[in-house]
Amino acid sequence: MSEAVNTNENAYALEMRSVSKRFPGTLAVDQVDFAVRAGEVHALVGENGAGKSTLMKMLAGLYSDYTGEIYIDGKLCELHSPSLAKEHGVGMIFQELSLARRISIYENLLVGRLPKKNALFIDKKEAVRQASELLERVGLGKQDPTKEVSEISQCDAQLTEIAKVLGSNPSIIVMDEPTSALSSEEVKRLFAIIDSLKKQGLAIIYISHHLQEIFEVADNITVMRDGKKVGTYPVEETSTEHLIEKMVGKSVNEFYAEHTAEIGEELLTVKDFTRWGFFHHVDFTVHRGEVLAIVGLAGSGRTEIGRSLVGADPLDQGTVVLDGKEVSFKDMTQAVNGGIGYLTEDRKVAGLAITQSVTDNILVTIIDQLSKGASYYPKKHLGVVNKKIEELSIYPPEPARLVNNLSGGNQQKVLMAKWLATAVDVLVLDEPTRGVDIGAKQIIHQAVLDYAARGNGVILLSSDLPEVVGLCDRAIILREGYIVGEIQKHEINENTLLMAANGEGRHVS
Amino acid sequence: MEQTKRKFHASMINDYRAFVFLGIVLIFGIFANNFYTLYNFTSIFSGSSLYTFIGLAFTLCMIAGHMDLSVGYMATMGAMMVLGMRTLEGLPWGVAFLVAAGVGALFGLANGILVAKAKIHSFIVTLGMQFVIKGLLNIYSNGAEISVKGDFEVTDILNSSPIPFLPFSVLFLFTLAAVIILMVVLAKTRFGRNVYMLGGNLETAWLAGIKSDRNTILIFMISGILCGLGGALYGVSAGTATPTLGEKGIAPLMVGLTATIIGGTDIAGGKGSVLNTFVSIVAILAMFGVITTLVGKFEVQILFIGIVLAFCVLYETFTKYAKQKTLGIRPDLVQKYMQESGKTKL
Amino acid sequence: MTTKEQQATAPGIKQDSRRTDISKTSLFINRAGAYFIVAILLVIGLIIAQGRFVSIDNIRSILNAVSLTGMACAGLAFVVYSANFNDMSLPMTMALSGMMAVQLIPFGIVVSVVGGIAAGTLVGVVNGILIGKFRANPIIWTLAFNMVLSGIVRVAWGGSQIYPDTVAGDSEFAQQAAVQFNSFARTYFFDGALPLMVVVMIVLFVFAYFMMTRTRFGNKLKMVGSNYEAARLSGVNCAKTVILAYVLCSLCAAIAGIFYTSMTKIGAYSNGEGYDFDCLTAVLLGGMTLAGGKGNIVGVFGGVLVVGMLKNIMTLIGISTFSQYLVTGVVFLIVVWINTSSERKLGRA
Repeated sequence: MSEAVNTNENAYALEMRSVSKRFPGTLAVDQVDFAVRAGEVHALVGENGAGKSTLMKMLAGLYSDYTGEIYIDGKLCELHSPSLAKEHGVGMIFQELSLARRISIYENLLVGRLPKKNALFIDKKEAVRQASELLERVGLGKQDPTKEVSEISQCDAQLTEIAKVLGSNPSIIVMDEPTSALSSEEVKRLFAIIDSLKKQGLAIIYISHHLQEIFEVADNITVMRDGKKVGTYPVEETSTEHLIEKMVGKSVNEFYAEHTAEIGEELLTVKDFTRWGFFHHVDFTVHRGEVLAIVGLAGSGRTEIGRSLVGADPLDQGTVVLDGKEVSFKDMTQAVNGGIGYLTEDRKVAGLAITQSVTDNILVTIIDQLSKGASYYPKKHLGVVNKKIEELSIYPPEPARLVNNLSGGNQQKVLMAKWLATAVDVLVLDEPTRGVDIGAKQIIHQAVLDYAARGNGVILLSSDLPEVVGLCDRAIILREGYIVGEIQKHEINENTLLMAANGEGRHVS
Repeated sequence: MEQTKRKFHASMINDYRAFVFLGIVLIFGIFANNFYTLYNFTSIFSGSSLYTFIGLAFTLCMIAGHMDLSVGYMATMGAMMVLGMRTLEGLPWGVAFLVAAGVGALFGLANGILVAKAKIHSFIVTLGMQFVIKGLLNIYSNGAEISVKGDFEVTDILNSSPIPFLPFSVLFLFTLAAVIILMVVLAKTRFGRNVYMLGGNLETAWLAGIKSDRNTILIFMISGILCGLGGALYGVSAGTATPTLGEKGIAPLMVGLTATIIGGTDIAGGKGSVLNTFVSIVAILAMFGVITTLVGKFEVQILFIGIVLAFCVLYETFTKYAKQKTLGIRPDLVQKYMQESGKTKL
Repeated sequence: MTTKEQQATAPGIKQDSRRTDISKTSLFINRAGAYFIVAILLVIGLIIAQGRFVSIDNIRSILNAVSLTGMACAGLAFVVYSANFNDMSLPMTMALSGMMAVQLIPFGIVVSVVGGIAAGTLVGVVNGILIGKFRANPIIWTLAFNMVLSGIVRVAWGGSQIYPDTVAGDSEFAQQAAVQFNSFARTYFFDGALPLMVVVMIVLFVFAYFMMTRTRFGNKLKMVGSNYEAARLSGVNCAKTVILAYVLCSLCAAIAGIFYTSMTKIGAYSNGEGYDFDCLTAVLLGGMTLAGGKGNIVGVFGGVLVVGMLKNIMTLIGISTFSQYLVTGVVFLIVVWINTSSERKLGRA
């Protein structure tokens, strides 16, 4: 095996030549050249929306309309469906686990190609044997393949996912954020496996926000920004600072508006905030007019803090003082009435009722405020809706339009509008601009700053670092459920944030 | 370690709750006169036949993430067709049975196409199909019953017990064969495993290149064939069939559905076992027998089957409700908590 | 600066790239819903039945025939609207309230009716708590509860039927109550032109219409039905809303149950049999979808009318009861098919 790798030293296992992919409204990947050798771990880094995932989905055959050429082992391939990509030896490990949880491990591993004993029956023994072999390759040799996926740990499930991909004998494996659900011990296990796969001559493409990990595991690093490739660097010739500089670029910060808000007195004080197993002993304060960011990598407990703060999830201990009064919310109804709102991160799953109109969605948070008795008729309150539509320039400006028939950016504006319509003092914003175009982003950011300037507090939970830098006045750093540091306004830039979130730099205690 | 062990046992009991249910019924059977007799067991097993076929069909669809409400009427159709073909048309028995199964397959095909191709919810499709079949079978028989009219040869064979000292009638042996065949198909063939995969995670199935439309249609067709055959066997063994077969008493659909749930098949799909459904049906019928002997009232039967079903639903609801609260928990933080507080449990 | 100008001038803002040209036919079918079929049936009725169809007698008999289904549908619509599929405990809710009412006749007509309705409503409270708060599977739970109730009712009354006049016994007061009870379903206004049952059905529909569109509850229910999680995270008390939906459903079913009992003069556990699916059929014909948050009460009333008119026309032209099932089933499937595909074309599904 290794000999074969040596003779092909100069050939690429994968070569993508000026590939592009256009989505309605955006050019997600723009003329990218990307090449990986066999036996190489190639990291792909970039900020959210830089086009990494789109590039890799292209490779996995999820799009049938990309442009450009993809060569695998020197041959031109058309990867227009998942099964075609599989045939050409591409294996992709998705961010969300694609395992059926209630079904046994071995069947998940061999889905669609269970070995047959004869024309009729599958050969379970053979299947279990093959599955064990695959599990062996990812260091799960002791695991019983007949168990259900739901019975094994998150880490083992992640490794099983890798084993599943190995089963189709790929020559190229793509891993999209494989460590987001793993603890540091488990990450080590994963790296050992990646190392052994590398020795077996596979090409591995590794996407991650954890720069530390990348330096541990990768041979080469390609940086992407705004859908374009910035450059490829051998790991010895680069450093965290260098990478961050390349990822961030320079021009991004310019469109952020000036902060006009004056930071006032304490508005929200949270002490010893704890939900066991999710986040422990979290303390922070938000002042009037202030935008506080809670910065942490995926899985650091950021979203969970937001959800517990508004009573959407339970809380084990801790005190919350809002505007001088101690409060505790059992559900979101109490939170909204008490003065805290929470903009959810996934607009389609938990944010908007997409089959209902803009009016219904904007007014849902204030139904109780708009009417005293039981009577309530949304058409009477079109004024409120029209004002919000104008404020956030929701297009087309039709209150009766179904949210489903708006573009992503405008849907996100509706989500923002429904919280701005409330009279809450503190707004928790969880990824307020994920996956929206730059115009909508700008409008939403301005709305956030205006909201803070009216003497309200904002807690921003975002993995979009330029957004954090542009909006927030102060950032606290969350790492694996604990607060590890705080950065003041004048020191916030993407470098300090990235360093801190990765557990480096002087802002981390 | 201890905790995982205990959890393991609790889930074991839940996985085999159909057997536990049967066990409890059998224990109570000791107190009932004439429960442990060959005759009683023969009649319980024979009586389970129609319900089992319907239960199998219902479970199959539910594993794939669908609901087939038309099973009761498809079975009635099977019973009417087999007797109609034999008595009214004078066809040989074999052909009559084939027609019954074929008609079931046709309705299944219609269900499957509407669900897979027209993308209408299976609950709605099969709800409408109920009325269609009800109409058709009444038109066919003019609302009257069809009987074997003195041609009791096959009826007698179905009701005879070929093996001495065992409570198995031929009818039950056929039923058992159906259970075993479907078990084998679900466990041992690619199609069978695909059924689970379709119900468990449609996206995984798609990424793996499983043809979901074709499989869904096939699933509904098998459901139809099972119902057609089950109804036909029932009709012949009883010697008569009425168009109201699917409605009277505790409707067969309800028994099949109840047994499916008690047997632990997940209503969201992806999990379930036809053996458990079968065991549940036997347990339900045995329970009816015990209640009749001990209490002697039909109404208590309904109360008990309702309580058992409600118990299962409540158990599942509350476990899910509790589980929701620890979704996404970080095991490393739980360990830190345990170190910090000295407690061993969250 | 207007929004449109802003769209054009602000750099980077893309025009809405979603398809905005909506198929006119789809929109028409979607808006008109069940009334499209009502109109077709009307035309068919006019042609086929030549003058008999639009007579007062015939209209009254159509409405009278669907009044019980209609009452239950007015309530069931809330459950379907909340994305909880169907209330399978509808039959026993009807039976229980009817039997309770009959049993309470010796205490006077008021106690009887109030007691009957209260008993039925209690069913909705239990359903609502388990489904709204603890998220039990709505079909399986209501089915299980229906069986439990069925058992309880049968055991409590020894599996027998009860008759208002027998229950009333010899007491003059109770006998009078029994007579009043039995007369509910036989009360007519305007010289027999307008049955009380039809009035009650229309009142319930008007009530449901206002609950659905003009109250806080109705608008919250819409959001809960469309996206439970989003509604919960917007501060809507989802559990309370779903509980109220089930209570309204049971309330309407209980009223229907009492009229049913009054009509047959028999309190029996089998009183509501078949209403679970029959009512759902009418509600779905009326343009509501199992996905929740779609359709409206006006449409549901149309669905009820379709059921009634279809049956009436078929009877008028002499189609047998048996063929009527077939026709109803086929019409139902076709309508649902058209609804589903038009919803999808409009990007609403």
